[in-house]
Amino acid sequence: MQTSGLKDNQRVFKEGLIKFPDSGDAPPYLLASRCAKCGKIYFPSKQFCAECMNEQMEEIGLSNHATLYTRTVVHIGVKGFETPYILGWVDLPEQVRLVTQIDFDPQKASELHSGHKLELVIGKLRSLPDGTEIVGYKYRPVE
Amino acid sequence: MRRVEVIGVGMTNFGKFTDRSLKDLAREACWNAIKDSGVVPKSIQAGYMANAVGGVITGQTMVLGEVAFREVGVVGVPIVNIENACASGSSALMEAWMAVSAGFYDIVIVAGVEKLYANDTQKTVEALAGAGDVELEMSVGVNFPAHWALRATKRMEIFGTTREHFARVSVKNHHNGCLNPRSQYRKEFTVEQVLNARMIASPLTQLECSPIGDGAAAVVLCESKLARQYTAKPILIAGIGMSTGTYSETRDITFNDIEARAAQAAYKASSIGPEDIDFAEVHDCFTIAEFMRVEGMGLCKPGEYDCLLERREVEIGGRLPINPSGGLLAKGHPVAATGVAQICELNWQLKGEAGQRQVQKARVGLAHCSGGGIAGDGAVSVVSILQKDY
Repeated sequence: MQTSGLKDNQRVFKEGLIKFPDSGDAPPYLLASRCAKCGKIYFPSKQFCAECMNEQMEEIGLSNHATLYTRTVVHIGVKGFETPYILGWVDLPEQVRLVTQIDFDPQKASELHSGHKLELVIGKLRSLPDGTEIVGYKYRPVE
Repeated sequence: MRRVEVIGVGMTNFGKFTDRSLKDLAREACWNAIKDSGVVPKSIQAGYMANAVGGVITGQTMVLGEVAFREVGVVGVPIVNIENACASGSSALMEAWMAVSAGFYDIVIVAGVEKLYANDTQKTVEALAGAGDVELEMSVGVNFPAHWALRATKRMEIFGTTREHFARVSVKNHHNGCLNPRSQYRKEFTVEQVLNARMIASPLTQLECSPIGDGAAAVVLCESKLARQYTAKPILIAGIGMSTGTYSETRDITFNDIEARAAQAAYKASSIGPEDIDFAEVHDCFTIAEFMRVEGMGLCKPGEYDCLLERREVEIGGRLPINPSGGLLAKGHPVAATGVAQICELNWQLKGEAGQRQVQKARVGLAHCSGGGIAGDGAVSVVSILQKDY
């Protein structure tokens, strides 16, 4: 997995989710798999499609754009996460819905409406006591 | 398929019992259920023990059922240990019901026990988070309050439900909890107090989230003809249905289809429909959950629960009392004990032994218990329908 976009003290929370292109200019994107037979798209990637019993899967990159489905501001969070933070379910054009942090001021969360246009951003989710930054996907409102 | 009756129930108080062990809590509930049933321990032919996080919290990682049932003389018979998150107890009940119904046994005991108060609250919180997908969702910051808060926000958008509607569920269930001597919390709250409590995940405050707690519950089941030898007041398990999530990415998360599937299975097994239910114990782990589950089971239409609350139809004395025991919000939620404790409550209500919180003329009761959350969907849902059989 290419991780050229990461600093020395950063690592992604789980392997195989994010592609950092070799060219420094191209933005990172989320990796998914598509069933070569029925076309169903899986994020995170799967090695087979249980819908149609097919093991021929193609690796694809997901769109960097999404729309907000619903959100909450978390005040008592998962250990290691700085609170408050915004969580949302977001819909991608590929019919993938994922739960993610929304990179936006929690004080202004009421400005985020269902259907809000978002874009992918790769950034810090939390820090470990030794200074390691755990990195993952987040989405932020399109300017 | 043979008819199966509840012939005895027992439970501990729910609460914070730092000096009591899992085994100790289970012993009290099981012994009370056995005494209530009138059977002797040697005539019990199998045991089903539900527990979710005892292994992590107490170190009793295996054979809790064998350890605890030994305390009450249930030995030398098949015993299985069952985990299905918050629905562990109701899952154990279903397994036991199927086994007696199929004729493998005539008399069995089902117990659920949980110990969440330990020296290390963080450890308890992390153990409970294990009811989700720890690899993915927990890693991006999702916990159970957030899982439900995301749905609450969507419901407000789609149905116009207000924060006051959510708070009314907390007020109602805390009121009912005051009438239940076994309840963890016996204190009244106003809508304003609920709304002004500490925010956990918007729009849900601390008084809209079920507490952690310790406790145990047990029931003795018996084949119907034999049951008449032990009791003149048997309570029939008319039917039980279970389902799990589909995790579809295009689901409308304002409708809990998992509850619909579980309820439909229970309605089919019992030949009882939602219109026949007199009262229900519903898994109100969060205020929003009560809305979605009552609607999911078809006890009212999607979006209609707001009106039922406004018209006070779901209070004790209303048309369809929901959580007369106080529910998880007030009675408490010792995870694996919850589903079995709901059966205790149905038993007492149907026999007219529920004291100040008695639902009048109750003949058919429904217990709904759910567990876990994966990809915004429930992991497991169990619906049990009990009926007065005398």
